[in-house]
Amino acid sequence: MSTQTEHVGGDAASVQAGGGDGAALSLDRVVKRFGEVVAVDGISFDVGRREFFSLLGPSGCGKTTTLRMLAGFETPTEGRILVDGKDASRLAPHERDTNMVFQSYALFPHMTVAQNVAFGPQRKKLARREVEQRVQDSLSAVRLEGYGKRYPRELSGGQQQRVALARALANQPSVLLLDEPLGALDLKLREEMQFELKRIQREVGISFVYVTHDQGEALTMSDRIAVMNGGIVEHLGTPEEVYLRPASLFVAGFIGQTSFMRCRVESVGADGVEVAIEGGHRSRSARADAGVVVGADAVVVVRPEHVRISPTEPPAGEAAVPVTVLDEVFQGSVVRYQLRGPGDLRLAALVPLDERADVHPGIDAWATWSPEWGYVLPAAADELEGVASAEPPL
Amino acid sequence: MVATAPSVQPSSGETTRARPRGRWAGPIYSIAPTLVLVALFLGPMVILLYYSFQKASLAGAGGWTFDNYTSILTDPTYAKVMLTTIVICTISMLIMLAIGLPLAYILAMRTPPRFELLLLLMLVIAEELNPLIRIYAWRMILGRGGVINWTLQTIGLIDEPIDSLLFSSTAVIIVLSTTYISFTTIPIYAALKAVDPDLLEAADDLGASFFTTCRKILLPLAAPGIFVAIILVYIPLFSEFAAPALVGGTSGYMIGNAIQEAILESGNRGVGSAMSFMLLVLSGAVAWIGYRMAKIRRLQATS
Repeated sequence: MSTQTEHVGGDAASVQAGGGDGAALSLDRVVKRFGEVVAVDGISFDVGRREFFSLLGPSGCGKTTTLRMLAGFETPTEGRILVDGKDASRLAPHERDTNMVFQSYALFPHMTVAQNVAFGPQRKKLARREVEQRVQDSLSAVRLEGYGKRYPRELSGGQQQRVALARALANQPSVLLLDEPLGALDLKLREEMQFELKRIQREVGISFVYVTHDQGEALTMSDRIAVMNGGIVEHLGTPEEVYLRPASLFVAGFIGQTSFMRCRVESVGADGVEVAIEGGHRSRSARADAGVVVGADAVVVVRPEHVRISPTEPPAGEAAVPVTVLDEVFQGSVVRYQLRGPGDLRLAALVPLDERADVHPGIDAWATWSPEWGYVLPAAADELEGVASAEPPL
Repeated sequence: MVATAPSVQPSSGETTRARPRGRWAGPIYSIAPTLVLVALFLGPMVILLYYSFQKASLAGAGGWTFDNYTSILTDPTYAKVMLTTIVICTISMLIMLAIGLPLAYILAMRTPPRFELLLLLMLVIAEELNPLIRIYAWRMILGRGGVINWTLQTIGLIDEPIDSLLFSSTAVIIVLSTTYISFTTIPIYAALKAVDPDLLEAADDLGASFFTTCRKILLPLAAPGIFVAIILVYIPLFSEFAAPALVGGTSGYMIGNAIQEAILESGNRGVGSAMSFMLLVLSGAVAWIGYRMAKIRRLQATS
């Protein structure tokens, strides 16, 4: 598996990710060990100005430790952290130009909303009028004007979340750090707040570093995503890159729903890779990882929304595997199929209602996809074990 | 299945029938303890109040009078004893808060969970020590041939033992401030335990130094615990008589000693009762103020 593949540059979205001097935040080979345990194992990346940057990964991947090092709550064992070009690795939280939005919100319960928001500016010894102005601006940025005199306990979860955001924004930091801030909200509110956060980030023009384990959240809001696993960054790229050209099986399995099909690489050419899918057709894939070599075991990664079902065998050369339809679930605009292919292969297909094929559970059919949507990743046969399966959560 | 069904029904029927009785059980059961409390606490208090308005007499009561109160309020000796008492109690209380606050903070926020219970237990066990043994231990430490004088003499800092260590108001303060450390620490610990540790990080993150965090976040949130500690500790301090009697000398003579002397040695039940009653009113006032403040602070902290 590739250790740290950085897909930076080339794409329009990553242009704003400034490197070196222009970066709001830089990590340089940062390592964090807790005794014997390596929580973060040498990660480096830059966060550009005004960039919405997400650290995405399962629990225990090191994303929260990384964020806490950025905030100053933990000191890196090795490596450097630069905030605004200045070394901040050893600075205490109150000495650095970052502010954090806590998962628990951490609002001061004995202070009103306005007092909470004013806490940061007051520590900076700003003039009283300036403090009041910042409180007003921050509260209006999160659309909580008129809530200044309330106590946190009198607010709903979503409102408390906004106060936490306003309090961090009032300090006008170079970088705002957010630790799963939407984790405690219910689904509907969470989706609303995703767009709200994005709007606020655009309006205030501050870099956001956003920690989450929710890939949907990361894809929706981020300019770039660093997918972390086992203390390293497995893939750094725009949401599109991470989704369509995952750098590793882990990334492919973690981001979105994925089906993995074992295959052997037959030829590598300028227009794509030719692979023989285990038990299926020999076909061409337009896109492949740079590490794919002829004759090696590989995996074709396909998203459920790109899989179509054909009752008859497609012509040779088209990407296809024979499958048995296990289940069919009507979900409104789409129909979800669960399919079983050769070997232990499990496939999921999300077919738009108007493209629905005449297949039903128990019927043998063919799963197909167009060459541009099959992404080929190098993988030894045993590497597939343990990677997120395509079993849809029904 | 069929066999168990009938056995379930009667028992559930019984509980429904028992419910009306249950509604009255509370008041009925609480009558006895209420009567005991009235008899044991209110009774002596009424007797105290009665004696405080009686002329001194060997028989006990010699007719109604205000003399006991006027003599206390006009006699400068009593005023001085009262002042000494307030000063000693207040300084002791402040010393205990100065120790108890950081101790409670360390226990609640900076102690690894596996040591927390152990330390709490040690704090409680220390409290269980007999107060008299504690006082005699201090006499051994502070006395002429005590540990402190011996050490100072051995290293040559002083030639003659310092007499004023023992039998002084300082000695009383030292003894008293070590007596109620647990009662001061534990309520504050409880208040701080309810504080989300993220608040400290948030304050730090927003630019507050540790001192500012203590002043703006920890102290206000610990306030309910501090007021409870004051109620639990400050009031008993006022009626303290063993420590001042054993280590106080003349400068550590407190109102408790005055009451004891008036009643047990001078046989002046009237003045003793009047002083006791005034002490009771003072304690009540302190308790009421502390209670109100704890309540106000708690409302502020949670609403």
